[in-house]
Parts: sequence; C-alpha cells; structure tokens
Amino acid sequence: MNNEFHYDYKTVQGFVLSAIFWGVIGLVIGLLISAQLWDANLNFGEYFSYGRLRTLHTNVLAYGLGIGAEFGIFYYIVMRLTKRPLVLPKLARFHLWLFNVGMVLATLSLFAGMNQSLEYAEFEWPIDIAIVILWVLFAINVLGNVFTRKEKNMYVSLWYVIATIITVAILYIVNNLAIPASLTKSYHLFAGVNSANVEWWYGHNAVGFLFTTPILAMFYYFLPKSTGLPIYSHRLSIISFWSLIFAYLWTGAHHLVYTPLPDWIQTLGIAFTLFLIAPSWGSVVNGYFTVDKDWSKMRTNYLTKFFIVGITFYGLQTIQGPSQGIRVISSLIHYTDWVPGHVHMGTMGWVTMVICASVYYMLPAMYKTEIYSEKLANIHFWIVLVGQLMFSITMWITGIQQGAMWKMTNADGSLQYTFMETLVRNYPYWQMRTVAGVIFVVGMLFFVYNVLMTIKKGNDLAKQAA
Amino acid sequence: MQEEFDNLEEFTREDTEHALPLGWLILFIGLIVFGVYYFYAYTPAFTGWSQEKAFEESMQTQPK
Repeated sequence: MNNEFHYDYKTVQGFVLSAIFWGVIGLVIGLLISAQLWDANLNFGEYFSYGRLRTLHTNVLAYGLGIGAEFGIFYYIVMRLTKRPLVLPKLARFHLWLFNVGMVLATLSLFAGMNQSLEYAEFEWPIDIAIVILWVLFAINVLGNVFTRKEKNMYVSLWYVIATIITVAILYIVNNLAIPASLTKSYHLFAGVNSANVEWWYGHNAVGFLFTTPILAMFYYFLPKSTGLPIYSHRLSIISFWSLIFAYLWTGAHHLVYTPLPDWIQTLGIAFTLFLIAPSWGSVVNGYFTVDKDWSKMRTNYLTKFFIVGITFYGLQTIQGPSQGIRVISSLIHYTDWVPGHVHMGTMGWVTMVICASVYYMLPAMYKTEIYSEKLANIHFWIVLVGQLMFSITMWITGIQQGAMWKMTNADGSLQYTFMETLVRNYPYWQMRTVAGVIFVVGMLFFVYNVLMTIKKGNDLAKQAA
Repeated sequence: MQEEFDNLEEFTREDTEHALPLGWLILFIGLIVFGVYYFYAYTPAFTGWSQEKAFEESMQTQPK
C-alpha cells in the first residue's frame, strides 16, 4: 500500500551525521585515556588530563553518539510505525540544533572541570535544565505521533520507544535534583547513602534505558525489515518488554554490594537483577528463532550478522551482568578492570553494532539508493568484532588478576600485595587494550566512510533526477 | 515520490503466533521463584542473616 505524502527525513539525517561527529570525538578521546593509563606523560595539562577526559569520553559517547543516533533512528521508526509524518517537523529540526549546541556547551563544561561528581550525571545544573527541555521537545513529537497514529496496532518497537522516553525523564530529573551554589556548582539534594542509592538507581537504569530499550526498539524493527522474516513471536516480544521494564528499575543497588547500604536493599537489588536474565533472553531467543526460518540470510543479507552477533553479545552481557551482582562474585571483581571490560562488550559489541546496522539500513531507504559498499560494511563488521573481543578479554583477565591479588593475605593476615604491585601488573593488559581500541576505531572509520559515500551517492542521484 | 508502508504488525500474522518457548518459560518462572527465596534468605529481618555476620564468620574460618 502506498501513502499520499512523503516523510521528512532531513532531521533524521541530521541526527545521524551529528551522532557520527560526536562518536569520532568520543572514540579518539577513548584511545588517549586508554594510553594515559600506562603512560602518565600523555596527560597534557589540566584540560587533557585523565580525570577530565575520562568523563568526557563516557558522556560524549553516551549522549553524543548514543542518544544522538537514538533521536534520529527513533524519529525514523516512529514515522514508519505510526504511518504519518512527525506532528511538528519544525520542532524536530529545532531539537536537532539545540542538541548540537547543548553538546558543545556540555563538552566545554566538562573540559573546564565543572562536575557534579555523579557518574553519568556529571553535567552541572544549567546543562541539566537544557537536557530536560531537549527531552520534552523529543517527547512531544514522538508521543504526538503515537496519539495521532494512522495504524491502530502498536508494534513492540513503539513500546520500547515510549518506555525510553518516560523512564529517562523520571531518572534524569530525580537524580539531578540539586541545590545550586553558583552557576557552575551545585550539591546533590540527597546525602550520604541516600545519594549513592539514588545515583545508582539512575546509573544502572541509564544503561537500561539508553543502551538496552532503545537498541531493542531498533533490533525488533530493523531485523525483520532487513531479512524480510517476520518476528518469531509477538507475544514473547511483549511479555519480554513488560517484564524487562518492570524489573529494571529495582536493580540499581547491585552497584552498592558490600557498602553501608542496608542489607535488604542490596538483596532486593540482586534478586531483581538475576530475574532480568529472563526478559533479556526472551528477546535473544526471539531474534534467533526469527532468523531460524532461514539461516542462509546470514550469508545473503549483510546486515543479518550485525543483528545476530549484536543480540548474542546482549545475551552474554545479560548473564555476565547479573552474575557480577551476586555478592561472592562482586567481592572479587568490583572496582577492578573487569567492570570496564563488561561495559565495553555491551557498548562496542551490542549498542554500536545495532546502531551501525540500523544506519546502514536507513540511509539507502532515505536517500533512495544502495549502500556505497557492502564489502566495506563487511570489513567494518569483522574489524570491530575483533577489536571488541580483544578489549573485553584483556580486561576480564586483568580484572580477575587484580581482584585476586587484592584479596591474597599472608599467614599473619597482612596483605600479600601492595596496591602499586597490582597496578603494575595491569600495564601489559592496558597496552593490549589500547591496541584493541585502535583496531575498533579503524573499523568504525570504515563505517563513517561508507556512510558519507552513501550520502554523496544519494545526493548525486537526487541532483540528476532534478 | 510516494512512500511504502511498513505493515510490520501484520507481517504474515499467523507466522508470528508462536507459543512461548517452554525452556524460556521455565527460566522465567524459575527466576521469579528463586528471587522470592533469595530475598527471604538474605534479608536480616527474616532469617537473621547479615553481611556483617557473614563477614565475621568468614574471618574465623580463614586458614591460619
């Protein structure tokens, strides 16, 4: 069936390009800080020191690349699934500009060392207010489309989009409640253990509602679209959705195992964390059974492997993560380099894998052309896969080593190793991690090149047609 | 130029009406049951277990 209008894709295209721009900056900073860990001479003055750049790396990639791509891809998915153009396209365009201006200001503020000292919520209060406004603009458009949709049935991706919008709003506002002392300094409304509990309720759900639900929205939409295979079970997708979002919000306390947080809150957090394996694997199983109809799609359609390998790492992450929450495992690997290893398997193996594949699918659809080069996309896939695995595995090894060394005691009960000894043993692994990072970034540059060339191709075709 | 509709929701509807996989359902219910047990067993108000006590015990059983 055809439709009587065309969709305005300019905003979507703008967000994709913005996400790529911020992504490249975040990746380069990531490489620098990984090298700073094994060579302190690579800290250049206060602005380019590890303390500031580490924060910049996480924020620029999470908010610039991650959310930037999510804004664009969500607008695309929402228009397609509600079968109507955005209710307020000009507001969406304004949203795009405000996003980039906000990112510039936010980046500069972190360079300047303005920091709330709350992980993933480092931005000071004026930027927080700007982010809330940004989010409301986004919500108006998306929810406006959902309420005035031309398609009665709501596909599961729409549910994931709605959950993302509502939950991020609640999390972000509550955890950023602060009493301003000046324009650039504020104090968290909550104190002590309460502050920690609210912060990790937020921190863990930032992972849930920025790196899980949005990516599942993409996965459920683009996997059937790329392969032409219908999703295995709508029922399983919906049950997984509701149980995932119900359980997620209770799990933050697993970040505070063996702290002064009351025992029962820790226990409750761990119980819900272990339960999360089920809804996560509901989506994994649904993905596998969808492609099970025709596994030759792994060869014949270049995007299928991005989605299947991506959902596999999601499955591994959602077993690894809950295991880390269990008290006995937490006591070994918490505060070690295992933790960044865990995070990066998710961000490099699942989040960017699915985002890149979604962009590969969307660009030819929006520019009415073919992808510039499937071969380059395949090269991109294999290089980032190798880089990510090398990153995760080196960090697992050194994390376990570190945790074990911290715990070893002599016969008289004194510690067997000093902190410095455990640190020095990290160096070879940290150097290997930098190599892994370089490999990953090279893979991403193939992606960027392919995207830019596809856009150029599309624009040339449009010019010829005109 | 006109746009094609997606119709993902209707995408050969009968193909997507699968029952929940049994193995997955067992995992789902099993984890709920385990969660209830775990919360009961490791909450000080119910069983008297506490992190502090568990730590003291582990210190006493350490090899000298």
